[in-house]
Amino acid sequence: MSQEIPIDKIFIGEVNVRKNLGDLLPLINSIKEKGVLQPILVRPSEGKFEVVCGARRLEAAKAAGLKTIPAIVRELSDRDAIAISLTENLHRDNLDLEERIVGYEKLKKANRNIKTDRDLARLLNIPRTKIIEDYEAYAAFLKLSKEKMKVEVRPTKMEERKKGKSIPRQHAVLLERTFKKVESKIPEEEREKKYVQLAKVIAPLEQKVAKRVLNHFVVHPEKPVEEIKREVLEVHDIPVTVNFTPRVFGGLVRAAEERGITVEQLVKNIVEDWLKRGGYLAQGKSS
Amino acid sequence: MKVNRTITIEKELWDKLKVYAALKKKTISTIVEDLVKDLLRRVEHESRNTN
Repeated sequence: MSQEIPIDKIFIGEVNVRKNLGDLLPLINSIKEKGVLQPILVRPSEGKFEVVCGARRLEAAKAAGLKTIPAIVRELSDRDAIAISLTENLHRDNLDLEERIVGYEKLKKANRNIKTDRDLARLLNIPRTKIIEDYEAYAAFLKLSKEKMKVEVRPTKMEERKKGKSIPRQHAVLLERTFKKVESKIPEEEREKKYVQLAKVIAPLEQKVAKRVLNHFVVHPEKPVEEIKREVLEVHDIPVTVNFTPRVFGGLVRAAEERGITVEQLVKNIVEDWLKRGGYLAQGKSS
Repeated sequence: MKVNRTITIEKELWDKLKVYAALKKKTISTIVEDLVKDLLRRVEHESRNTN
C-alpha cells in the first residue's frame, strides 16, 4: 500500500542507479495536470527515506511544486535495493552504458554470491549476453571517450554518427570483439589511433556493412583504415570481358541500336536483369 | 574470330555470377554470351510472331 510522504523527507542515494534523469519537462507538466499516477519505491534510511525506484518522478514532483508524493515503503537491504533499481531500469531500457556498468559493479560488491556474469544475469533476469555486450561496449567507450565519441544504447541521429561523435552500442561491441582478435598484429603505438579510425568509419554504416568492414580488417589488420574502407565500400563495379561470335555480336549491335543504347549497356542490362530476377537460381535447380 | 567487349557489373551481382559460373563449370564470359544469345533468340521469335 502506498502512502503520502513529504518530499523533503526523501533523498536520492547511492542505491539508485539512474543518474541521468533526462528531459523532465513533459513529466513535470503531466504531474501538474494529473498528479503522480504511480507511487515511487523508497526504503527507510537514517530517519528519512531513500529512493529505490522513481528518482525522475521525485525530481519532477519537486519541480511541479508538490509537497508530498505517493510512495511504497519497504525495508530493503543494499543488495536488494540495488537489484530492484537496476532491474527496473534495465527492463525499461532507461540506463546509459556507464550507469549500467556502475550498477552491475555496485550489485557485485553488495552481493558476495555473485561470482560470474551468469549469476548476475540470473539475479537481474536478463540474458547473460546483454551483460557481456555491455562490458564490451563499455571497453570501447573507454577507448573512444578520449576522442569525445559516445557509445549510444538508444538510436542516435545519423548526423552525430557521421561526424564521428557517436557510435551505436552494437557497432561498438563488434569493434571491440574484432579488434581484440588481431590487435597483437598491430604495432602497440598504432593501436589506439587505428581503433578510433575504425570506429569513425563504421559508426554511420548499417550493421551488416560495418561487419563487412570489420571482417576485411581482420584479414588485413596491417592495412591503413582508409584503404580498408575503400576496398569494402568503394568497389561497386567489376569489369568483365566477353568474347562474342560475329553473328551474336551483329545481333547485339542491332538490338542495342533499336533500344538507343550502347552494346556495353545492353549486355550489362541483360546480365543484371537476369541476376536480379534470380534467373540463375531457377536454371541452377533445373539442371 | 571473336569480338571482345568489356562491361562492368555491380560487385554484388558479380559475386552471384561468379558462384553460378563455378557451379556450371563455365566461364563468366560464356554465361554472358549465352544470356545474350537467349535474348536475341527471344527478340527474333517475338518479331516473327508479330510479323
